[in-house]
Amino acid sequence: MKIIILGIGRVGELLVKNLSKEGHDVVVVDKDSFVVNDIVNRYDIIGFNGSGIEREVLAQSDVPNADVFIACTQKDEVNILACVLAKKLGAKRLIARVRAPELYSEMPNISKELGIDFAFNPEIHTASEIFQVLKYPSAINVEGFAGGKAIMPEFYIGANNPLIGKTLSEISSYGFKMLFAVVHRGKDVIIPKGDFKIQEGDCVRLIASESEITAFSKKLKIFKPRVKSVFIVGGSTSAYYLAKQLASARVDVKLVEKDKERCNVFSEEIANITVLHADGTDQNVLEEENLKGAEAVVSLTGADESNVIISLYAKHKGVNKVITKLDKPNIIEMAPLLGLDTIVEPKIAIASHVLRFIRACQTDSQNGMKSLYKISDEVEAVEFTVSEDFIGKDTPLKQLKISKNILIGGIVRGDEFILPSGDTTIMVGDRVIVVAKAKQVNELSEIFR
Amino acid sequence: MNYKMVLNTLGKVMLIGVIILILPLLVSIIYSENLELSFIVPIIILLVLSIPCLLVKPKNKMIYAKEGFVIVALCWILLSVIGAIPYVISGAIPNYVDALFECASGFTTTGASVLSAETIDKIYQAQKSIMFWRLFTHFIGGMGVLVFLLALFPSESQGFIHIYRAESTGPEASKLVSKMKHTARILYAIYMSLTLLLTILLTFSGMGIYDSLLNAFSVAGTGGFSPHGSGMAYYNSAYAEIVMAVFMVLFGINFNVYYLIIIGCLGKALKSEELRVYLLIVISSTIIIAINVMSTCTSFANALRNSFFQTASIISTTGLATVDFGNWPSLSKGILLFLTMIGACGGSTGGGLKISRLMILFKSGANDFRKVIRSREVLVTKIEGEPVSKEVERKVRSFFLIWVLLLIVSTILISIDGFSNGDIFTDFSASLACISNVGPGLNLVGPMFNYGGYSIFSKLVLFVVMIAGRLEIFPILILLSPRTWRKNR
Repeated sequence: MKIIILGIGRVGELLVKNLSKEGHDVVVVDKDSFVVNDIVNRYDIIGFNGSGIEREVLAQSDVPNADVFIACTQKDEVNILACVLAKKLGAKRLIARVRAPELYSEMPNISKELGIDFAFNPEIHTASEIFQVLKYPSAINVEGFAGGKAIMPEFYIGANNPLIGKTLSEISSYGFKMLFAVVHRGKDVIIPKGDFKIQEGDCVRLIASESEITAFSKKLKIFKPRVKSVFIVGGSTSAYYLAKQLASARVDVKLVEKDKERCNVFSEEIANITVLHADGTDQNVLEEENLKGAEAVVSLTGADESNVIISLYAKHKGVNKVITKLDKPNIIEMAPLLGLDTIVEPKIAIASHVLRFIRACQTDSQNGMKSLYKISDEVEAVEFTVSEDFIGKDTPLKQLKISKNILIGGIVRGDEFILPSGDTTIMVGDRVIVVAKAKQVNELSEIFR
Repeated sequence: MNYKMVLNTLGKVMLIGVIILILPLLVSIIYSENLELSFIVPIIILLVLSIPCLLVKPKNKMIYAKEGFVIVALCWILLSVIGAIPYVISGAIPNYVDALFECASGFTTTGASVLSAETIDKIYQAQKSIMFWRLFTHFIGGMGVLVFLLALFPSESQGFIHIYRAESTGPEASKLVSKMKHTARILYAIYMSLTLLLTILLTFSGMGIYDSLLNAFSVAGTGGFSPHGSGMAYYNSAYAEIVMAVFMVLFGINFNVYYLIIIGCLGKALKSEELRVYLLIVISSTIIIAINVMSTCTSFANALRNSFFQTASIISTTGLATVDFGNWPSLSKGILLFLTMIGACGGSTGGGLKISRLMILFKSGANDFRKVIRSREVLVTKIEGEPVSKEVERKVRSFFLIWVLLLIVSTILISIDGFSNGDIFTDFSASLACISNVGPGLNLVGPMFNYGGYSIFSKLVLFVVMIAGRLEIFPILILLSPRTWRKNR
């Protein structure tokens, strides 16, 4: 695919790195000629120097033949305008970074008119990512499908896990509507069958609705339940989104921010949270506000160094779940050495989120593929929206001819999650999550056309 | 320095070398000349050498600018060293240093020969495959061995752009499309189609397929070897001369122009400033020389034919000759000497300083001059309507300086052996013809003479100068600089 990326920051570079490695024709455009030269030297791409809202620059960068156009400059307005221009010139799919909360909340309404297929907001994404981790504290990571109606958490099976030694058929007899999608065992990635036995050290990925996963964890007491009190340090934009989500989920939130104005914003706009005007890096403050009493601590200040110090302090005080937001690659590299386990990297998270969308565009722009998540190099999870052309509509799944290695992981119909069985039929408008070997994805898009 | 990646890439280059050597081997089988051994020996040497290189598995696959330069320089030296072997084994050129000179002259598309006219005719008669190899090196060297490598071996390694930059000509090499592999393939596709077209056109002159192909190789790479001792005069065909002259001009044009034409941007292609300056120089030189040499020719048409062929041949840095321009008046010789220096467009198969570089030099010089008069004036050097970055401007100036320095040093070094017998102009024009990859110089190294008389030392100096000229100096300088090889640098 021909992919044009406007604006090369950290996110832009991560996109370039992944997309050029995946074999796409990548063209970058940036205002800074130094940045362009540097990136062209490092990746097999072509670069142009210029403004993204200049028609001539876009035309020269071959935007008219672009399959995907990504605008991720610092400015929202530039991104949106560049997308509109690119659409006019003939670019097929448009992606824009929109950061301002007021603009982003308008995007669902205006993106159709502007022709923007996908808008992303790094701060909201970071917040949701942290929110997911807080909901399932024992999950290593959680991917959402169909707008969060179905999720795919990944759990590590530790030594005392009651699931060890059980086969999947045994586990499914408990009656939970969930599916074991993929198991990582050592270097192998397995799509498991009913007689598959879980061992210690496996990493399992389940597909289910949120409530089902919570019920399952509660009933069997295998995984830690969701946290009920969170201590947030730093009042950044992502902290704002996170606090909002947590507050509406009835989690007890305490937030420390040293800027008075910022504190006012939080306390005015979010109900049921405790906002403290103080310096979060001051240990006396943290002590006084009973940091160790919180079930989870999230450090979201703008400085990586402060986040590390706060997290170390929280760990030291025995807080169960400590989440650290980090941006700088060199600090991220050192974090595990310091014993910080749950690290949120906004740039990488948002880049992989965008990549999911781009990969889904890849097979054929006409099919209903919505998002494609790479579980490993060989296995992918794909979300489809079933259209009228679907050959298997109104046929029970067991009568469909689908290859062995393709697993229908879940169906979302309206707001409901359906666990597929042999007798389930897929209907038009369903959102289907499929787990398959990477090579079969093209075959899949044929079926779900 | 990423030694493993350098070795691994050299290993792949050796495989390319094997592929290249198979062609003359086939020729020798077709003509059943019993010269197979001359090509089989270097093929075996390359295969044996390539095995350890290819077994090296680099952990870090990144190539930076330094590795790019070193790979390109080593690869060209290696191919010349191995490519000289067939000449020695077949007995065509018994002295190894002579063979090395001839082979490097072929690969760098210089076309300076150590062979006398009689020897060339003898090889043409009896050793068709050796003659094929001699001309085929022009074709390979024209577009570049490593560009061929980039087109053939897809690699997940990033930094291959540095190799491409180090090997292609002109002040700023840019990719045509985003993938290196596709860029290289497009370039070779254009190059091969033009060569094929030329071969077909030449067969109509009645020179036979073998000769047409050989002459097409010589023109395509803007080389200058001729399969006959008397050069183009052997055919005495106005049609062949004009076809070849036109194609010499075409091969001296930046290949980006052809790409623009292919993708349908003819208008943009014709607007190219470099192309216009190039054509302007070709046309004006042709006319001036034609008027100047009128007296030595039978008619004005004849003068125009000779002057067009010679202008095209020298500006594209091919170096083929139809007449002995050593006997032309001083003005004509002066123009040809000037054309030798400036050479063709950047991004073509030609050599020399390159038109685009001279344009930058000239314009930035003019700006500096205006600044002397009015120091507050803000001036930006522009080429093709785009501002030239200070970085490029600086690089072009230092390139020019080093180029001139190398020319002077080479002239002095080759004057030591006394071959020129007091005529320092011979040594100067020999050095200039080699650094510009033209081939024939003036006086004792003129179009009807050869480089055979120089000492071994002088030939080795010129060998380095030719490769430095083809690779535009920096790769060779970086290879020879001790700083490159010091640890922790």
